[in-house]
Order: sequence, then C-alpha cells, then structure tokens
Amino acid sequence: MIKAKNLTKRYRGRNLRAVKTAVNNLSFEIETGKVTGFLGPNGAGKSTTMRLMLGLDNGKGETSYDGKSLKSYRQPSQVVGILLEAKAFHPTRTARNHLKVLAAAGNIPASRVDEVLEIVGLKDVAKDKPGKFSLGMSQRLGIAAAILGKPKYLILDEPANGLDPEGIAWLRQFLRDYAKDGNGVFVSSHLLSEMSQMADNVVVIGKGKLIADTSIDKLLSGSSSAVFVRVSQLGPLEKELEKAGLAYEKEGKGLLVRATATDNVGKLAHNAKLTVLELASHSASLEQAFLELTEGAAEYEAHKETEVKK
Amino acid sequence: MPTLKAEFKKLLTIRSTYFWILIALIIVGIYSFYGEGFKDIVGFLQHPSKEQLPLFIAGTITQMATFIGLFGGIIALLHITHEYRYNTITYTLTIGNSRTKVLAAKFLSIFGFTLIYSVLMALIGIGLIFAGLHFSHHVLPHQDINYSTYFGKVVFFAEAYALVGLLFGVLIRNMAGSFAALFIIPGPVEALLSLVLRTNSVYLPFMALSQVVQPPFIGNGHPAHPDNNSGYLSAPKGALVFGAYLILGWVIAWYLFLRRDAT
Repeated sequence: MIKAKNLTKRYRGRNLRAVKTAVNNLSFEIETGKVTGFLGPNGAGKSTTMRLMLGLDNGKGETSYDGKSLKSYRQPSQVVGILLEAKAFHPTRTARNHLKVLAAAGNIPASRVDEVLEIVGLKDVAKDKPGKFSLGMSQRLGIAAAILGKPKYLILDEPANGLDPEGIAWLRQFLRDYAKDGNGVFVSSHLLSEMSQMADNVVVIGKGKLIADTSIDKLLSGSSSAVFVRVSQLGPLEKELEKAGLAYEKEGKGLLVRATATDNVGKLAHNAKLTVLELASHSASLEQAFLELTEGAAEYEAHKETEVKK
Repeated sequence: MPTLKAEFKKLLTIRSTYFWILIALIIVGIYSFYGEGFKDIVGFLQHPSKEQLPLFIAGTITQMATFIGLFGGIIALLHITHEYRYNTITYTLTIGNSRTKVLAAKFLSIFGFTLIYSVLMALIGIGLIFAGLHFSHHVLPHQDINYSTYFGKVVFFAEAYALVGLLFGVLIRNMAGSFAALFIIPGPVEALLSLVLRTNSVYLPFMALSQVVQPPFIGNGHPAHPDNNSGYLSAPKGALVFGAYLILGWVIAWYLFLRRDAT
C-alpha cells in the first residue's frame, strides 16, 4: 500500500512575497489490487502531489511504499514506475535506447526492453527517434518506461492523453489487469467517463486539498440522481411534484425530477391519473459527481464572452 | 554502478555528442593539419630560429587544448541540461535511490568520457600536424619536448572545461543560460574583472586555468620562468587556483542538486 501523509508544497510565485500553497496537508492511500483515480480541476495540484510522492519536489509530508520510503529501496524501479509527462525523452535517442538507458540505471536486464516495447505496441518503431512520435505513441513509450522494472506500483499522470479510442481501451484493460495481478495503480485523468470505467477508488482534490477519498461506487451513490419522466400531460404532474416538494426541470418532452427514485415519480403520476409514456432513472455520472464535489475549487474558471465584455 | 553505466549510455546514445566531437575534430584538424602543419601560418619553419623551434609543437598542442576543452565543456553541459529540457530527470531521480549517487555518476561519466576524448583528440591533432608537414614537404627539426607533460596539460584543460560545463548545467539547468555562462564568464566577464584586478586577475578561475596551458614563451631571447613575472602563475599554481574554484562550485552544485525541485 502507498500511504501519502500530510503532503504539503508551498512555493513563491512571481511576486516573491506571496507564498502559494499548491498542495495542502494531503493524506490518502493507494491500495494494491485496485486502480485509484486521481481527479481535480486544472491547477488543483495533482502533478505536484505525484512529484511529492516520488521525492522529485521538496515539500513537507512523507510517502511510504509498503511502509518504507522510496529512497530506502535498493532498486526503486521495481517498486514504482512513473509516467509524469508523455514527452519525457530525448528526441534523438531511439525508443529502444531510451528504454535501455532506463534499464541500465535500474539494473533491469536489457531483454526486458523488447518485451515492454511489444507490450505497448511500439516494437516496429523501436529504432525510430521518438522526437517525431505522436502524442499517443509518446504515451505508449512512457507506459513502457513505467512498467520496465515490473514495479509493484504505477503512478501515471494523464496517461490517456492523446491516445486514440483503441489505445484508451487498451490502456484501460492493461491497467485493470496490472492491478488485478496484485499491483497498485494511481492514475490521474481528465477523461472522467474513462476513469469511471477504469478506477475502483478515487481521490479528488481541489486547490491542493483533499475533497474525497472513496470508491467510485460510493462517490456516485452520494451524488444527486434524477428521474426522467414523460407522461400524457405535463401540467398535472408538475402540480403533484410541487405538492411533494420535488425539484424538476423540463427536458425535451418530459421532466427531469431531481433527488428521487422512479417509484416515487411513478406513484405521483398514478395519483394524477396520467399515462406514463417513459420513466427512467438517471444515475449520476462521474462528471456530475466531480463537478458537484469540486464546485468552487477550480483554480482557473472560464467565463462567457458576454460576461468578459461587461 | 548501474547509475554510472546508464550515464555513459546516455552520453553515447544521443546525436549531439557525436556532432560536437565532429565539430571539435574539424576545428582541431583544420588548425593542426592546415594551419600549423601544411601552411605553417606562424612561419616558424620558413624562418626557423633556434629558440622558437621548441614552441612549434608545444604551442600547437596548448592551442589545441582550447578547442578540445571548449567542445568537451559543451558535451558535458548538454549531458545535464538535456535532462531538464526533456524532463528525463524525473526518470533519472526516481530510478536511483540517491541524488548524490546520480550526481557522482554524472561527474564520473563526464570525467571518463573527457579523458578518452581529450587524449584521442590530442593524438589526432599531433598526427595531423605531422601529416600537414609531410604534405607540404616542410621538414621539422628535432623537437625537444616532453610530450607527456603537454598531453597532461591538454587532458587537464579539457577535464576542467568539461567539469565546469557540467557544473554550469547543474547550477543553471537551463540550456541557453548554461551556454551563455560557459562562453561569457571565461571571456568578457573575466576580461572586465581583470581591468579592476590587474595582475591579480590571474587568480580568477579561467585566467588561472589558462596558465596551465601557457606554452613556454620567449623573453629577451631567453625562456622566461612564469613565477618570476607578475601577472603569471606557474602551471601547477594555476591548476591549484582553478581546482579550488572548481571544488567550491561543485560543493554548491551538490547542495543545490539535493535541495531543489527536479524541474
């Protein structure tokens, strides 16, 4: 298990007097056998957190890997594999040589290089210089580097960025299988639908603070669900909903009723002697849950053009 | 040991290492073969004087050291700044369990590489002088010169520049900034400081280093002893002064390498 405890990172911005807190007393755990998603708005501190966990940035707090710090392992590459940036390679060093350098540093047999290149589907371009690789190919090379030492844990920052649908599906399955083998995977992504299919647990942060550390199922069940209903006449049902104190809004030819179940809405329609044409539960998506959780925690917020002009 | 092996692999698996070696070879080749051997631009051989003859090979070797050292410095500088530019430093620091070991491996790999590079370049350079002489049909009279001393000076100078290049890369991390430091500090910066320091400017790091590769020079028809002249240091003293700066610089670099974020 990876235990991140009280991770804190402060730095001075351009105005040297102002101290900015990028990560604020963050604690969470990453279990083996599971994929843990790492979510947060842009600028929430996800990448900084990962760098703190790996000792790349100096800050406060500590991260233990099975109870020991990464530095205390003789071969850290067999403990954790990383992908923090897709294009982290020298553009004129061939893909194979890039991995050979990493293998040499980690005391990993050179034969493993060709294995991982085959796993990620880059065997045919092993002798090519990665400077001309697409973002998707670069991500695959990064994943190859991460799994080179067959590490127990993977820490991956946005590994699905730039991958085509086939690549995303491959990555999803690969990470799930990797976790199933008793390893732990910690992965950040902006592709929330992808994360909902990939992750078992999720850590959500906003402005450097922990917002949620839970399972995907619990996260979704805690978020507001809704019921879509289409009946022969909307008016009487609206009155029934108002009497019951349920919030609703018009959606297409029906109504979307918030925070309730299909049973309730069905009964209310029956009370109003209406014919129900369509009744469906809208379970919360991860995106909806994410937006609810991180409301007000976004570092950068976009505005409509009309608002800007005012 | 694995870290050291990886550092050598890094150095030898990128195009820029070979590019700069090639540039160094071309410049040393032009200077040695054409400038000195073939053309005899200084004119030692057309108007030989007994006192100047020993300067022919010695002067050429020490002059070559400047080119060899400079390109060695560039290769060393790129060895570390590429890591930051392409963010491979994240791998380097997480695969190893100690930043000190990583820095030591970089230091040793550059030291080892430069040793081989500078000896080979000096050998090629001297060989090309004789090749130039052969093709121009110049006859070089007997040279009473201690080759091992001059090889030692070339190697020292090249190692010094390589370790300074690496040092600037570790301290500055930015490629353009490190290049600027490598070219500006030994040249314009020390030249300006020497206006203030006058004869004491020989205690500036690169001025002191240049004393190591000073060829024997002629004063009033007699070879002068450097220690008898104000504003000059003997080669060992120059090496010591430069070495002191280098050690200080590396202590600071080591401290910062441990403390700073790997960005």
